[in-house]
Amino acid sequence: MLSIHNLSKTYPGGVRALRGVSLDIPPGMFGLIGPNGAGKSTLMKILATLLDPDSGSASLDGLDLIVEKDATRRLLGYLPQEFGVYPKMSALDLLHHLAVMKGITKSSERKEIVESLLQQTNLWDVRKKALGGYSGGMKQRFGIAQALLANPKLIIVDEPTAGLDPAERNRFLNLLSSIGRNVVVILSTHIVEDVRELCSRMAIISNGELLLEAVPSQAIDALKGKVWSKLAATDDEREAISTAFPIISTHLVGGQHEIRIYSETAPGDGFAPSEADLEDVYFHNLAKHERN
Amino acid sequence: MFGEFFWFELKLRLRSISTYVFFLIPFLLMFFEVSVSDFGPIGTGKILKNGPYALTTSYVQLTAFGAILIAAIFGPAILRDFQQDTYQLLFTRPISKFAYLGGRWAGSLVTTTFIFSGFVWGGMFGTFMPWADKTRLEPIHFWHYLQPFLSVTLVQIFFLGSVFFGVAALTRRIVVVYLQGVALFALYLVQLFSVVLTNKLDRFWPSVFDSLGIIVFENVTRYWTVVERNSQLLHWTGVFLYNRLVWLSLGLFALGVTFALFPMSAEVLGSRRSSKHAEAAREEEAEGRKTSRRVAIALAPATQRFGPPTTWIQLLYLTRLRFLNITSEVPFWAISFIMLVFVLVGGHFAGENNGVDVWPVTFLMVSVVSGQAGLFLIIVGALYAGEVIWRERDLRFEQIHDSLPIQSWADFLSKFLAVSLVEALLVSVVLLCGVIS
Repeated sequence: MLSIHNLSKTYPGGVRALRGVSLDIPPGMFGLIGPNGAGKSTLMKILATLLDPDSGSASLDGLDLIVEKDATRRLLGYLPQEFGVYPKMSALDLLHHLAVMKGITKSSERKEIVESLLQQTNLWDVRKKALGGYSGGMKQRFGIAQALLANPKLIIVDEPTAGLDPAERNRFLNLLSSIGRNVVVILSTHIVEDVRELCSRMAIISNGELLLEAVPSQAIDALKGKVWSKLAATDDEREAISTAFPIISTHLVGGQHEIRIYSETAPGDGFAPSEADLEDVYFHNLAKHERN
Repeated sequence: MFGEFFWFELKLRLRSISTYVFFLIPFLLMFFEVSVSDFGPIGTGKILKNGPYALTTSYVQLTAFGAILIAAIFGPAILRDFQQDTYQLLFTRPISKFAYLGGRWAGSLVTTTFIFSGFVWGGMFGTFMPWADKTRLEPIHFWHYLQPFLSVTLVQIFFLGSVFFGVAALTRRIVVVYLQGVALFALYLVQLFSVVLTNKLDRFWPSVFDSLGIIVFENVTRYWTVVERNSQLLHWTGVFLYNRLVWLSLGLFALGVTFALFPMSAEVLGSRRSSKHAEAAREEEAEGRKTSRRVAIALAPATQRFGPPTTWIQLLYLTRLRFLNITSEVPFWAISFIMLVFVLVGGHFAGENNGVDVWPVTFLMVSVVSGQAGLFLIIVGALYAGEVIWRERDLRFEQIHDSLPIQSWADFLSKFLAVSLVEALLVSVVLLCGVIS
């Protein structure tokens, strides 16, 4: 169990990236969603021992992540949102190097885990090529491989599916969920789909604040019967609706605006009841936060 | 059209801070040359610090070493489009070859001329300094400042710039531009040493084919009296004229070849350029054709061990990584290569003294070899000490690196050890060279 209590972080420029975030994260996949600049990466960097918070605490089964950095790093697997590699080195060499850094000093074990990770991430055929020649997707998969070295107990992956094609994304999510049953996996994303497919629990953060922490299916259930939709033919009509009702989202469907609103009771006026999904949960919480 | 490319190039350069930093280099060098009595190639004596001889000598020598600045302006003018992948945007538009190449080239020429005009302004500014020795300064003769700038510096910029530009345009690889510059420089040093160190008497042909002008200038002015040196400019006659004509025509030739061979098509340019983008794109394509494994299997277990033995192994691996990082870089090899040329040439001529063969005894060899190599060891040390400290940050690998369970002292020590190892390697190669030559 990862317990985060009242974490706050203000950057030197005065940006308040986190404002008193508290979360309890059990083993399994935990999805963190929020718009760009919400503070997801800041939270993850704190948990990955790269940043010190201004206040608050975080501990994994009694291990203080903020004070005992070295012990934390031994059981951590971290994939940053943006990272570079040593361009002249091969994936095989760098993974071996990183495995040693993670304490896998026995060479037979190291060989086995490095090779199985290269297979898993489909980098086996290019394992001896210089990393500088890798495409975006290949580099991302290398990042995933290095994060999974040494059977980490805490896996933090910051937007891992960015730049992966649908098949790669699928495989990665499978891999992650097979690993993630017994360890804490925190996954940040702005793709709601990732969370719905994978995560047993989720949190929405925006503007450094925690808006919602829930089990995805329960969060959807809570919205059941309260989402209504309507097609708006003109921009004027859309404007009119947006002033009258709390809008969840608008989508373009065949050139027309499909407007989804939140309402406890039937709004009438041509609105039809609509099936709630996780995207509604996300947009509804963001919109509610903005209105307040 | 030509104008657009020209102004674009010029504006880009004028907005870049590096242009002004580059300008300061010639400016300050000439400033000190004129205002400080024993600074620069003239040193103390009766020769006027801002007289024609002093100014020309300084221009010749500083321009020769400033070739790197010329490469730094002319090379990227074309390479930029290929490094940043803008060539695909450019070559899908109806632009003419003359406008594209000519505009970029002319913009670079004007920028480089501006940078090197620091010689003229620095040299003038220096005369006004209160600490300058007024007995060794003449009143400012603008022509004495300008004539050598036009006949030495500008000609060098034209011909070296055109060659660098051509190589960049035709190979579209910065590495080749770099290596070509290094090779030219090394070749020139060999030429210079073979003429100067052996006190060769016949200097006509070496002077004509002297690309950077040091030999020809020395040749023309070697018997000038002090009065002549303080009043006469280098005129375009005799061997100096031939020299200038040779290199001006080479510059024109380079431009002609570039214009004739540069393909104006994104397809040809893209296929011939070997950048990592192209490689990655090809890789991606090849990937798509393969059937990839879709099911995840369980990962092999691994035991983590921590403690002093692990820390030592980590130190070893970190040192190895950093050592390989330095030695896999082209600039490192370029510097080492120049150093070797210096040492070999220096070592070769150590056995000769004023045209008389002497025994190349150990102290002579050691002094020559260590004198030549010492500077390079310092350069390599300073360059890569800085490089190794910021390496992870530069590569944006620092987030992964910093979250590894390693001791910070091991991390720092590995940086120190890697640079030391590189230096030790260089010293042993230099030692070997001394023995061979």
